[in-house]
Amino acid sequence: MSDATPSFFTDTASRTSHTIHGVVPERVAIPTSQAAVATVMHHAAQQGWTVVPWGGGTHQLIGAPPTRVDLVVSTAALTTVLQHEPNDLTISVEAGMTAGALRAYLATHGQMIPIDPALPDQTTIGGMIATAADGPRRAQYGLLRDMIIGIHVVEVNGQPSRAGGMVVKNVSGFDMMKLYHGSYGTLALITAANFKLIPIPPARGSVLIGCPNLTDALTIVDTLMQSQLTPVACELLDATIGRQVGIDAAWTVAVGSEGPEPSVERHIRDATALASTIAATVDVRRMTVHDQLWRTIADASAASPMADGDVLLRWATIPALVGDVLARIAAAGTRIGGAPVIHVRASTGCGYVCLKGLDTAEKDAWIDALPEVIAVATTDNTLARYWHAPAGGADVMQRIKAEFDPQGRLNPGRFVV
Amino acid sequence: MQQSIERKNILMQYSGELIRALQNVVGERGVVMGEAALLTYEADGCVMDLHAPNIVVLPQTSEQTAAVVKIAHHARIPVVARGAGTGLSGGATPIHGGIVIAMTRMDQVLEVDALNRRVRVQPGVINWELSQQLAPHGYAFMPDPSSQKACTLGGNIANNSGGPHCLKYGMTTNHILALRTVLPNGDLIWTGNGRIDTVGYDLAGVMTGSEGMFGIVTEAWVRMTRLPEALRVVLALFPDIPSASQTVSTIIARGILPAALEMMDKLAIKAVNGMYKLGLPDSAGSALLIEVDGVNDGLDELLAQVVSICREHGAIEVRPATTAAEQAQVWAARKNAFGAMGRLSPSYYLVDTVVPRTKLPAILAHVGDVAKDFTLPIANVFHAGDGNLHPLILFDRRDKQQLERALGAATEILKESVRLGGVVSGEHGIGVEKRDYMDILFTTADLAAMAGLRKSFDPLDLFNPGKVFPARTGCGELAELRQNAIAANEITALPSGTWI
Repeated sequence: MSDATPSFFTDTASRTSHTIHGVVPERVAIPTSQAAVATVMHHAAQQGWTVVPWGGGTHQLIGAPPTRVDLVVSTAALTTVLQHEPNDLTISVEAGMTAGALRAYLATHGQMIPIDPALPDQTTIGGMIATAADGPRRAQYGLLRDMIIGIHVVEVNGQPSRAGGMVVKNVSGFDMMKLYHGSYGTLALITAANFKLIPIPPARGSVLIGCPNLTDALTIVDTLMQSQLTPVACELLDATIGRQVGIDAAWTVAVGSEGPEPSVERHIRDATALASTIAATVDVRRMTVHDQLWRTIADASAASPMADGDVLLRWATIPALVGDVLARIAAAGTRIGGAPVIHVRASTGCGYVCLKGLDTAEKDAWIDALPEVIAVATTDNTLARYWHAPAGGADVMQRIKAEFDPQGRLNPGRFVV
Repeated sequence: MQQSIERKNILMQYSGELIRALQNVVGERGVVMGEAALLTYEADGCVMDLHAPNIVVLPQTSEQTAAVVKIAHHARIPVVARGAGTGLSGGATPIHGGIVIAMTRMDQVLEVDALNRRVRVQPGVINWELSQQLAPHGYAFMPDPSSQKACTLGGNIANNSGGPHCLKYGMTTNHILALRTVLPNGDLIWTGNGRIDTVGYDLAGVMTGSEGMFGIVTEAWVRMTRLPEALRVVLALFPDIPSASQTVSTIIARGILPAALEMMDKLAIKAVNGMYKLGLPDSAGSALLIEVDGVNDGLDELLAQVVSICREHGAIEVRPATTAAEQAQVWAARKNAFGAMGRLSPSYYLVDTVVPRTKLPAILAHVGDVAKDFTLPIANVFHAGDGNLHPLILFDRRDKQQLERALGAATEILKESVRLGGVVSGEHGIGVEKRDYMDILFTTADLAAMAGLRKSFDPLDLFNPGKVFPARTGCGELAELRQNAIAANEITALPSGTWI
């Protein structure tokens, strides 16, 4: 560990480009190695600085405004693939690599991490982990939390530590990957992560079912869920997002399948047959057109950039209650306004609502109206609240925070804990 | 003798009042204190370190469990949760005595919620019985440890258990939605409400696999998975181990994800062959059990691809198991292979370790060398698709010298596994068995962070003390080291490892 004072950017451009909810950091560090992150964090500890970890900045609008930002630590220079074992289907990458760069790199080996975050060319691996970012193909492949097999962090005092490994099955020690996943930078700074990979499936195809109304769309989703089909994605899109993918209907059910060709064709056939039971339109997309479809849908949940009146609400329920939540969203739209734009990862019971042209009171009213909201992204730094309370275990969460960051210097004020 | 005196002291210290308090919670029949009865709780499936508890309590509700823990917390008595006791790492062994809370009376499936593909269970439900109950609905609980006919969901959660089908469907942790848990201070919490995404830290995620050191699960929402429309099973025989390992690597590298990909070596084949009348030829040096599943369309093509890879690597015979009865027979042979070892040896020591999948030929060659060096036969039955090895070191427990050689052989295998980029446990857990191997894998700083997490849940070190962390540097010591460093805004001079 070097004792030399690390260098910081204190110029206006560097600082303002890392503004969070209107709070301009005092300084920015862009360490070029994991060891350099440790040096920076150790220095920050000795100075008593508050620290905000920063990946691509695409998720920084999620959560409450920071109470104080003495230092932003950017992972922009940590973009190396540390180890890739193509035949083991494992990879270790630094946290600042973007999802898009990693996707492009892996594609040259015919492999992928099956997660599609919004804005992949800016979103970093570390940011995705810290914010538990999801994507439409979670219906079959699961969440990022199911794919991380190892993690490297620098703790609040500058101490690097690691957990997991480069194997696909591992119970050696506690699952620290799950601890840092979705912790919004409040426990440690993620510097690298290891993932299991899967080969890019030989066949990929989607069916877009344009439905005349929500009831029909929900019936199709239910029928798919009860079947033995194994779609990789099953998304419910409102008319606005439907138009973005070329479908003109009140609601669109987008069903994706990936795997051996006969299996994909079977999914396309069955989904098409299902559509014929109602007055629905059917549009089939295959291979790279399928890939592009899901990227467009993924981008619909982008939490940046936003105008002042915009809000993105991420919500979660159980699949059977999706219809109920959508009814309340419709009611809130009528009562409060905001012209809600909706897409739902229907088979996993979660979704996003984009709102426009709202003042602070209206935003507050929306959050109150939807207890299912699990994350709020907005430029507004005066909301009454940015998080609903956890369903349980708030005391334990506070104790974890106190143990990992006793002085409250990591991302202060931003998260529910 | 020493143990007996120790137990008397604790009982004298707390006696009457403590026992009465526990009996008030669970009734007289729910508190076990007889010396002979307590001895049945002195170990789980790992019989290396034995230690009987002072008291065993059998609660019937979450509230009773919480009340028992509150009493133990007040008296500062260690608490060890126990399911069916099938664990293989000593996770349920009360090495510091205290109270064992046996969850076996809480064995109800409470709610099958097919619409949301989830089921609410008590921790004493047996893994196999859960899937049996879900089958008529067209669902299953996918993690399927070899002990699934005896092991409980609570134990699966504590150990993040695996099984053959975890290759495709993931470990227990991928199937847990929310846990109702008694914390070490007696608080009873739900970590979530059973939806996939939650607000705050992922408590269910960190509790799964925490080996009873963070909390006692009294209820859980777990995922149920739709049974596949179709499956195909094939048994491929190879002349030797390298040809079968190479086949595994090729199947994975070509992008095929079987539901299961299991390997048995010559010795294991010999053990199961007689017992299950599989009629496998003596010339077979290894066997692969391969299952593919999904929608019916394309499955035959997928199987043909697998069979062709087997033949490419010199398979001497490829036997499809076409009927359900044939499939059940080969699976029974695989899942009961450990039991079949009784035909070859009075006892065995089962080692659980994982290597990167391409390192299978290297580690298996090393296992062969270790068998020679330690002059003990070693059989291999394992989850090849995951790189998860299970060498079974055959020995006679009554022979102290053989026992020592078995332990020495296990250490050699684990060290080589780590050297090849592997880890010390894939699915059985660390418990007391592997705790002293943790520091060949992790640095002090890595372990200290884990100790910090443990301390957030259990500051008094009361839940399953003495597990997971090396005996030399226990959890409390590591947590204190770390806390002091953080308080001083300093990093401790901790050794750095070569781990990636």
